[in-house]
Parts: sequence; structure tokens; C-alpha cells
Amino acid sequence: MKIAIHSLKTSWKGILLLNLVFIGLTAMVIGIYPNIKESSGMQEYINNLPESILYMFGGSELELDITILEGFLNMELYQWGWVLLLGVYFAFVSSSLISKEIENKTIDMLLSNPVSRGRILLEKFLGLVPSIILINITTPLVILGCAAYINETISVEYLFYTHFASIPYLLAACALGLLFSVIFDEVRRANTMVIGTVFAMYILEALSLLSEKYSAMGKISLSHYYDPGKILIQHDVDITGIAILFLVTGVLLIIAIIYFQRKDIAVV
Amino acid sequence: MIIETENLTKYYGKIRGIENLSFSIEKGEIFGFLGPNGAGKTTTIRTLLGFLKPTGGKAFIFGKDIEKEILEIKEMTGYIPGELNLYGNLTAKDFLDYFGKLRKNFDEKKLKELLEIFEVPLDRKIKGYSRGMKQKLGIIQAFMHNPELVLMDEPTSGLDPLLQGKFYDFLREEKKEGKTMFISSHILTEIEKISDRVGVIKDGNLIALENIEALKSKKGKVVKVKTKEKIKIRGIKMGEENGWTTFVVTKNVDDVIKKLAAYTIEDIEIGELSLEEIFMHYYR
Repeated sequence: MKIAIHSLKTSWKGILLLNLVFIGLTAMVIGIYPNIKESSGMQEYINNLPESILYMFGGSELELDITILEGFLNMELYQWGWVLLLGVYFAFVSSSLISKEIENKTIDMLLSNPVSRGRILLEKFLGLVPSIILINITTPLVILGCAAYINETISVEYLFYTHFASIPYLLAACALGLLFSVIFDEVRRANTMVIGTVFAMYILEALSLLSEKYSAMGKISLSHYYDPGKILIQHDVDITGIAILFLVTGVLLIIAIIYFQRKDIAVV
Repeated sequence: MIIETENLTKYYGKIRGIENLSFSIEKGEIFGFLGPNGAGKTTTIRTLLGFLKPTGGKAFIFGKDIEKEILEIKEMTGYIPGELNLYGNLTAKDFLDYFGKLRKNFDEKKLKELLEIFEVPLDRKIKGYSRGMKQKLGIIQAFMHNPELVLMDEPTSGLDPLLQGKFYDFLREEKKEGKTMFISSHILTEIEKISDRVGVIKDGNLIALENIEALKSKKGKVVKVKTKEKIKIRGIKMGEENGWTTFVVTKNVDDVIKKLAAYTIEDIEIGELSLEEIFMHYYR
């Protein structure tokens, strides 16, 4: 666990910042909610948006019902903040983990220790888990606190599920990032490639919702298997989706480990 | 046998790294691995450590196959890379602590000893270190778990002469404890000072493998002579500069001196061949 702990130690500033950003963001979203709720034109405006735009914000009309706090949170926080932003963030951070050691050539020193490459990769992955869990604790707590402050109620149970189900989604994003991180020797390359991929998957999923014709396309997207709005508003937890995300995480990690083990660490 | 390689080969695609290296190193030996830049020294070391997969041949360290039991090998091995890249954001203390924890046989007492010989500012971040300080830290981390074998890739680059001397003394002490050391270098005089045996690598191939004493017994004299006439002796290549003629005599000294007697000698110097000159003469 030493590598995981070390990895965590060196990234605590980023984790802290991330949490602060999301605490601020969440408080702001809930803070403006009472005003939005009262301005009757808003919902009408949303309903009149082109379908393609709506899907970017999270799909069905039901999930975009801003007359309830859940609907507003889904649109303003979860769909882009969680699915897109956090997905990109964790994929981004993890895509630097190995590529940075290779680019800075510290990998030489690290590998001179009696640690296998598989272990290095797994520990780097494990080092990310606490930050995923932490953000999924601070944010719902802020939501509950702020909701109580503006006299709104929200289902604690499904708020919990919403965040619980995001953990495998974010883990899969990390595993994807790690795979890019062992493939590319340069941090910049690994970063941009993985950001592009996560973003493309998000768009693909949105497109796939548009028409039956494209519906199969979304299945290769990670975000297809995590829909916070569905859990939070329709109280529908997609167990299969969670299982698939865990499975995908495992498969991506195994591929990353095999790739890393076979890789020549050359002096560039 | 601590290290044994059989036709160890590494190609980077079509580019040759090393080719058919076969050598063995015994316990307690200081083995000098000599060659110009780009000859394959670093490739050899990195292959032995499992960073690179050999494309041919085999290698064993402590009798263990480098492709199968690299973790057990690394447990008892230390490494000083040629290009020392340490975690700049860590203080030396944190760095040593981190690596110490990655090794089962980390030896606190040894670390203390090392820190007394090679002083470094422990509380300073490594990115603020000078090259020499980094090199010292590299030495410390390679020895702090009392390894049986240490592979060093040009370890003295970046060390000032005083520190180099200290480092050699340290290596001699380590050798007394039965440790085996593999030192690569492109500087002959450096290898000459410390090694028991020398392997010479050129263009990825091992071109010589000799005891340092045997190497030195490949005697010869460098003769520098200033004469009025131009010297010509059959079978000997002459170098000329500012009226001085320089040449190497490896046998028949008597014969050469007698031939020289025919010239008008204004000045003469006769000296031992340096290792560098031995290589130039014998292995070119």
C-alpha cells in the first residue's frame, strides 16, 4: 500500500480543491434554486429547447423537471458536473499517473524497487479511491444541508444511491485513464487522449438517446450505465449498469496491467 | 556467480541495443563496464533490471532468471541510474522514507552510515538539489537496504574529485563486505582505479573481458622523443607534434632503442601506457 499512500499524499491538494469547488458549486446551485422555481418561464423555456440539447442535459423531460429540487440538481449539477466534469477529472488525473513517472523518468527509480508493475498500477488505482469516496460524501452532505436551509426536501435514500452508483462510474473512468497512462509516454498526450475519449463517449450517449437508430452506439459509452437523474427522480437504480461498470473497471485494469508489463521502459 | 549472461541481446525494433553479451561476474567483484557513449552500457543495465525485455539470450542474477524472478532479484539489488531523476517535489527525507518502505530489507543503521559519508540536506526538496547532491542521494538510496549487488550507470558523473575519492573508498569498503558491483563508465581512468575486472563494449558487442591486472600487463611504453631527423622504424606508427615524435612500444624495446640510437636525440621521455592507451592500442 506504500505506493497508494504516497500517491494519495502527493495529490491531496488537488483533492481538497476539487471538493471545495464542488461544495461551492452545489451551494450555489441550491442557493439560486428558489428564484428559478418561482420564475415560471424557466420550465417552459426548457421544455421548448430542441431535443438534442435536452439530451445533453440529461435526457427525458421528466428528469428535467425543475419544479422539483431533484430535477434542478440533476440538470445543473449531476448531468454535467458529475457525469461529465468528474468523469473527465478522474480520467484526466489517472491518465497522468504512470505517464508522469515515465516522462519524468522517475519510473526507473520506482521500478528498481522490488515492486511488480502490476502492483504499481493497482496501487496507483487504489490511491484514487479515497478521493472518489470523499467527493461522494461531501457533496450529498452539502446538498442535504442547503436543502434544509431553503426548506426543500429531498429523498436521503435516493440521494445516497445516486452517489453510490457514481462510484463505479468514476472508478471506470479512472481505469480508462490508467490504461491511457500506460499507453502514452507523454503526460500531455495521455491527458488529451483520455479527455477526448470521455467527452466523445458523453456526446455519443446523448446522441444515442436522440433516436432509435443510434441507440446501440451509446452502449460503448461509460455514461450509458450511470444516469443520476433516473435514480434521483424516478427512484430507479440500474443494478445491471452498476455491475457492468465494475466489470468494465476490472477489464480495463487487467488490460492496462498486461500492457504495462509488456512495455519496454526505454530511455527517451 | 552473481551475474551470468548468455548471448543477452536487445534490439529496439531494428535498432541494435546490445548483441550476444556473455559474461559472468563473481561475488565480491567490482566489474567495470567500459564503452563509449551509445555502446550499449545503459541498455545492458536496464535489461538486467527488467526495464527492457531481452529480444534474445538469457541472463541470471543470483542464479535467478531475470525474466521470471525479477522481484526476488531486485530485493537484493541496488541501482544508480545514469540519468538520475528523483521526485522533485519530495524532500530527501520523504523520498528515502518512501523507498525504504518499498524494501523489506531496508536498514536504518546503514542509512545513517551513508548519510554520514554522503551528506545531503534532508529537509530540502529534491528539485532544489545540485547535481552532486542528487548523485549523493542516488548513491544513498542504492545502498540503504544493504544489497548484495549494485548496478551503477556512470555513477561518478556529477561528483567533484573529492567526493569521487570518497565514493571509491566507500565502494572498497562495501567490497570487503562481499558486495558485488557493476559500474559502467566511459572513462578508463575511473574504471582503472576501482575495478577488478573490465568488460569493454563497443557497438553493442563485448569486445574484451579482462582482469585489470592482465590488462595492465598488456604492457607497453609510450616513447616521446625529440630528434633532429624524422624517425622511421618499421612496424611502428609514429605520431608527430611540435618536433616530438610519439609512439608505443609493446615488445622488443631493446631493438627499438638501438634503432633510435642512430638519430640525434635532443630529448626523450618514456612512460607507462595508460589504460586508455592500452585500449586504443589493443582493441581498436
